[in-house]
Amino acid sequence: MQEILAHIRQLGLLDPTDHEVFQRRTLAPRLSQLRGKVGAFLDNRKQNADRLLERIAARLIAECGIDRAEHQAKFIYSRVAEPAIIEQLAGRCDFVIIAIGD
Amino acid sequence: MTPDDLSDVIELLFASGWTDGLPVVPPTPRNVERMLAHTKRPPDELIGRIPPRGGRATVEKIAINAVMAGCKPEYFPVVVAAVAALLDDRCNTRGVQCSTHISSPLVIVNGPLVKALGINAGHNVFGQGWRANATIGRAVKLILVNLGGATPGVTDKATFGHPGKYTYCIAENEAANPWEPLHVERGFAPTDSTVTVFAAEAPHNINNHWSYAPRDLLRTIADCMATLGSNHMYLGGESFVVLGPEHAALLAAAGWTKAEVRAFLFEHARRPLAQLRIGGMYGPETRRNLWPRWIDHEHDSEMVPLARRPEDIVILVAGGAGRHSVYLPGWGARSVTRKIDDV
Repeated sequence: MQEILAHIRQLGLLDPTDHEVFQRRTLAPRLSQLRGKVGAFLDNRKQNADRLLERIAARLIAECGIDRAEHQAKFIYSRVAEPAIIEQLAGRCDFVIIAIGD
Repeated sequence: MTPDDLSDVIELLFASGWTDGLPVVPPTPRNVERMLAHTKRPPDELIGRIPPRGGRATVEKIAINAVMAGCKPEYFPVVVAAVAALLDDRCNTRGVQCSTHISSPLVIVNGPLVKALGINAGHNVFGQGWRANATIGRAVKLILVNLGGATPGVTDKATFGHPGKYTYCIAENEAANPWEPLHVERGFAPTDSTVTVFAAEAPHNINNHWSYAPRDLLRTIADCMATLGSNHMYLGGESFVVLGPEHAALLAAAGWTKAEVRAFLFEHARRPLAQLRIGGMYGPETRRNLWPRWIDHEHDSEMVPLARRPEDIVILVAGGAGRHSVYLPGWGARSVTRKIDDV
């Protein structure tokens, strides 16, 4: 892909994307292990998201030794979580699991 | 450059991932400068960040995508206004971009620019054949992908999508509209040109060839609106009824105003609770959050409206001759109308 983009630049064509922003926004680094960590479980209010997250949290506690689970819920699935919720979870937790698609 | 050289450039652009699956016009500096000559805005002006990945929609980036879409330079102010509109929080474009739902932003143009730019409002209004419709709509879609980063299956989780994700742009048929056009209804002057952006499903045809009583025609329309699979039955939000000119003329000739048409549809586009309980999106959130408090969940015969209030049914007139109208369900968000002020 880099070769293709370089060739396009050589031809003098302009870029319709925003690579700079896309490159900055990457996945958060993955944890190497979960033992002793605190997990955030963010319910997006879709049907059964809460039940799914409770079961995942229980298994992570029992099988992976996470220290504890903090559960929160968004107001509605079609909007990003309120900044206060994100701040709270980011301050207290080591990873977050979000559910659910549909 | 020979035509074969141009074909090679088109293939290269396919390989770049910058297209919608169709060939694009090479975004040369010359083409982009010609596009930028049709705006007073500076190239580095930021119109906004396109969700979900937040790419910066500067005037220049919008121009690059408009060139690729095949826009004539004089279409550019429409494209810029459409991008500004879809960034309004009421459109919830972030949600629309990522959802499993089928909807995609539709651009509706009103005012003198419709004729000046040759935007189709008549026969085949949702179909092919007009460069303005095809390329203005396509420019908006390329921006959503190239700057928004809406990649199918990755960030764009649409189960199906629809052909409007290639291009989705119409004009209102103001000449055939017996009432005030959409932009005037929304407070703009008739001489203003505007864009309205609305995340819409593909058009659902409503066939009524034989009713001459307005109520019979409107009952047909209401029935096509209130379906068990409709997002609106569970989530509310705006939806659009696009009356064909013949249907609009029938209603107006019988003395119905647009407000009366809307009121009738609000009252009749309903389904009984017993039917809605079987699925769709009925669940605990429906009671907690999504339905108005005045809906009685204790009685299966309660008639649940598609719209939470009459104003959520937006009425347009478009299309050509023929006794059809169209229903455009949305995603649950709102439409936004903006003046095209850069002409």
